[in-house]
Parts: sequence; C-alpha cells; structure tokens
Amino acid sequence: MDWTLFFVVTTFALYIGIAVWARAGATEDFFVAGHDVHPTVNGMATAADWMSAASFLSMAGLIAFMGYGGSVYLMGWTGGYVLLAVLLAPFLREFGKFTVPDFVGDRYYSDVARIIAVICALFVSFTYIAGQMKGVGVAFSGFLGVDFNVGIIIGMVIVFFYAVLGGMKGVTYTQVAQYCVLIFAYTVPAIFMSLIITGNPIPQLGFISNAAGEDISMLSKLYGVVTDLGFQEYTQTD
Amino acid sequence: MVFQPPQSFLVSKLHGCLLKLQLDNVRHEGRHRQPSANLETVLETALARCVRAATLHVGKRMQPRTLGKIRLLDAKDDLNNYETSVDPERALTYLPRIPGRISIVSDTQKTDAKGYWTATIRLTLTLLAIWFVVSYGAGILFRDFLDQFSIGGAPLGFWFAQQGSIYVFVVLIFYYCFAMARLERKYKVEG
Repeated sequence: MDWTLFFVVTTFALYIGIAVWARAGATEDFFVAGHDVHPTVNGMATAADWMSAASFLSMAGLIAFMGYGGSVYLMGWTGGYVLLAVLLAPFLREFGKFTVPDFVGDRYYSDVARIIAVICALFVSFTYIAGQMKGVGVAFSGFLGVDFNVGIIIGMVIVFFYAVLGGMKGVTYTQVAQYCVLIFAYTVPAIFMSLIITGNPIPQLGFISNAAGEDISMLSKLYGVVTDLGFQEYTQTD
Repeated sequence: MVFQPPQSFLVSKLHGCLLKLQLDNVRHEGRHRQPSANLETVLETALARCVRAATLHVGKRMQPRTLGKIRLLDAKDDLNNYETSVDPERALTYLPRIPGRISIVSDTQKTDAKGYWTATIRLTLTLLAIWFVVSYGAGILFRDFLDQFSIGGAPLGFWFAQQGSIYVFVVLIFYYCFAMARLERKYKVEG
C-alpha cells in the first residue's frame, strides 16, 4: 500500500508538474502546443491514446476472450489511424484551424457540416471518456482504497487541472509520460510470456511459433486448453 | 477598410504580389463600376486584404509562410481563373484543393498545383485500397479462403485480422509520410 500510494502520488505530481511547466500563454499554445512539438514526441503522445486506460484494463482481456471476433477492435482502431493520417491530419494542420469542426465548417462552407462535426466529436468523446473514466475509477479505487466514485472524481480533477492549465502542450507531455509507463507495462509481460511459452522473445513471432521444446504450434496448444474449458478455438470464435 | 501601414518587411515580401493585385483590382472595379480614381487606395486595400487573409489563415507565428501563399495567388493566374486573382480571401476558396496545402516561396518558380493534387489523390486512393484489402478483404471477406493456408499454426485469414493488417497499417502511414515529402519536393510545395 505504501509503495502504491508513493507511485500514485508521484504520478500525480509529475502530471501537475508538467502542466505547470507547459502552461499555455496563447491560443496557439493551448490548441496546437505552439507548433513546436517534435514529431517523435507527438507520436509517443498519440501512441498513449492508442493504449489508454480502457485498452490496458479491459480491451486486452476482451480480445483474448473474444478471439477472432475481437479482431474488429484491433483492425478498427489501428486502421483508423491510417484514415486519420491520410485523410484528415495533414489538411487540418495546413488549414490552420485548431479543431475538426472548425476545419469541416470552413472547408465545406457550411454551418450544418460544422454542427454535424460538433455532434460527432461530442459523441465520440463521450463514448471514449466513458470507457476511460471507468478505467480511472477502477484503477484509483483499487490503488488508493477509495470508493469507485471518489476514484473517478480524483481522476477527473487531475485531468481537468493539467488539460486546462497546460492545453495541448500539457496534454502532449503527460501523454508522453503515460506512453513510457504503458509501453513498458505492455511489452515486458508480453516478451516474457512469449519467451516462456514459445522460447521466442518477440511476441509477434512467438504468436506463430511452436510451443517451447515441443513440435506443436503455440496456437494448437492454446486450442487444447481453451476447448477443454468449454470455449471455442481462439481463431474460430465469432 | 482601414489601412494599417505595414512593416517594411511585409512590403518587401509582398512586393511582387502587390503590383499584381493592384492591377487585378483595377480590372475588377472597372468591370462593375467606375474605375477607381485613386490607385493608391486600391493598392492599400489590396495589401490590407492580403494581410487579412494571411492572419485568417495561419496566425502570427507563420507569417513568412503565409506571405509565400499570398504570392502564389498571384502565380495562380496561369489557371486563367478570373476569380482567383480578384480577392485573396475569396481566391483561396477557389483553389482546386485545400488552400493551406499550397505555398511556394520562390518568386520565379510556379507551382503545378493541379499535378501535385492529382498525385496526392492518386497516392491516397492507392493507400486506402491497400488498407481495405488487408483489413476488410483478407481479415473478413476472404477469411474463409485464406484460412486454408496457415502461417506458423495460425490460419492466414485470422492472422491478417489480428496481426498482418496492423503491420500493413503501420507501413502505410510511414510510406504516406515518405511519399508526401517526395511529392512536396517534386512539385516545390512547402509541406
């Protein structure tokens, strides 16, 4: 508990420190971090969006449980990044507008389009936030030993603080901090599981390798386990 | 329109564009009402419009780039679109592509905006076709067919759905960056 508290408080302090350091002085600073975020840093922040609280706490398990059926999540949200990179991001950037509704409204000379974009943005954000906040509540109620609702409120206050104070720069650099934690938390267990089960340290290759010391593929062995438990084969589920 | 005396930097940067805009404005005024008597007013209005369009588009920190864009409007004349050379702000809306994507710095070099845009569209469509084929195609539509084959114990269709498509997505994004940078160099467009 002591160590947990230490890590949680240190993380909060780090985020608030970043927010104070990055506090926005102008509109451009607030929305686009003053155009001076390095692409690599931006990529790290974007990656932290990909593997956020919801994906870490529940998507990984959901996909493991759903097997092939879970692929739609994998393809959906990684594929979405391709659409974003090819169809939206470069134009938004060059157009000099800060938000997607601004861009859509100005680009198509239509306030109707702008309003539709606002509604879409709100809808998407609420869906996303609902998942994230559930994750935040679970994490904080567990770590801090407080009520689920109190956990959510603590999380909201912290996010509110660094987002309002630091704007995009604050968000970007807190995301970078998250990225460093998440990439470690994701890859280390995956590497060691892959190493133990298949003897291959690269999880992506381990996935299609034979089980360690046996002449049977890892997936076939997995089928044996899950079908014994009464589930469908991992690759065949709907 | 109130004319703010521009900084000397602005004037020198805008010089080429100024003259052109001035001429266009005279022509414009002449078509619809009496030619403007005061040439200087026209010139001032043109400059004010320029600067206004500039502020409108990128904001204070990127003015040198914006000025490049304004000058391009002048260079755009080769499209023979009368509208494009009348009012910078309106002209921006008539560019056959998203305004902000065009900007050149050089005075002498004209940008082949159409060629650049066609190439961009072609690249985008190609990448999206691949995007579709590896995810919807290999992962869902042709899954049953591909599942006859296997890769290290994993049915191929399933592998595409959970692994292969994602590798391709990552490659697509990197390739897009690389290809766009190459296009921008080729067509002398500032990215």
